[in-house]
Amino acid sequence: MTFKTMIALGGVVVFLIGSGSIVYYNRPVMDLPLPSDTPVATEEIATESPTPSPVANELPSQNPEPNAQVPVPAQPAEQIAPVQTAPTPVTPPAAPDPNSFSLADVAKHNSVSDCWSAIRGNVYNLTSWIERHPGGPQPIIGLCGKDGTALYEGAHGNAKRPASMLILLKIGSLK
Amino acid sequence: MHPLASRLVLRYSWALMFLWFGVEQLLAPTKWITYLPELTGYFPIPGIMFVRLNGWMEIVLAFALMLGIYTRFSALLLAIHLAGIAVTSGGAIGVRDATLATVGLAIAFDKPDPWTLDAKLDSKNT
Repeated sequence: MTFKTMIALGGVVVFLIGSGSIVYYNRPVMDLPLPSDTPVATEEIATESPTPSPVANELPSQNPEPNAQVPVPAQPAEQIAPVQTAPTPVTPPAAPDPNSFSLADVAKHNSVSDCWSAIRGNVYNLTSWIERHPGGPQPIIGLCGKDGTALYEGAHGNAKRPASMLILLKIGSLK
Repeated sequence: MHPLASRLVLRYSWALMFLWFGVEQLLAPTKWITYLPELTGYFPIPGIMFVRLNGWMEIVLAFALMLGIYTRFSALLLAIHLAGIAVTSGGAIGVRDATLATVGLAIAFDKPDPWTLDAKLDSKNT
């Protein structure tokens, strides 16, 4: 292997390491909203200590006769084991559809770092698209927190490509 | 002045241009996203990542050109890259970039100047 080839290989390695680092540190991370108001069913497990048997508490020393048999309760195992009641089913209250948002919900996400928009009756999280938009970030920033149907249709009309990208960002529908 | 000094100036100035643009793209990618052609919006990678990868490639190739390692190959790659930018940009910017791309072709078509590592290693071997 010549010196020239070694330098070229070193350059290729540096290029690959740098590219890998760029891909790793700029990778997109999904940030789907979690429905916070969804009730979580929990099992109720009885943790009460069993009622102590009065007989079990009696110490042998309390018995006047050393060799006398200590009376054994009829069913000690059942009395000592913890009582486990059946889990009470939690009936969730009529929970709202977590993927259905009002315009007021959309309006809360009106910043560059958290940008939602309602377009044609659907709600989209456009945050990750702001810096990917081929036409620059400003047109997307203008949609944040509002119904952007008119602006979107004014820019793209019924074009298929923007619509195909938009559908990937959908997070729900408008109430 | 050395009769081949113009080739050194040409190679270094062209490489420094890519080095500057590459560093800028790496450090402030958001400034360059607006220059991305529309088709890159359909790539499955974020715009920032695309700009940074492009900048990193330009930096590595610019260093190769400055060192003079695989000079002709590096110059050819950068010339094709710049020609691609010229085609997607179009207009006055496209004409300027296409002209700059021909500078790279001129470097690629000629044999490496005496200050390149290529020339030094070749002269040592012969």
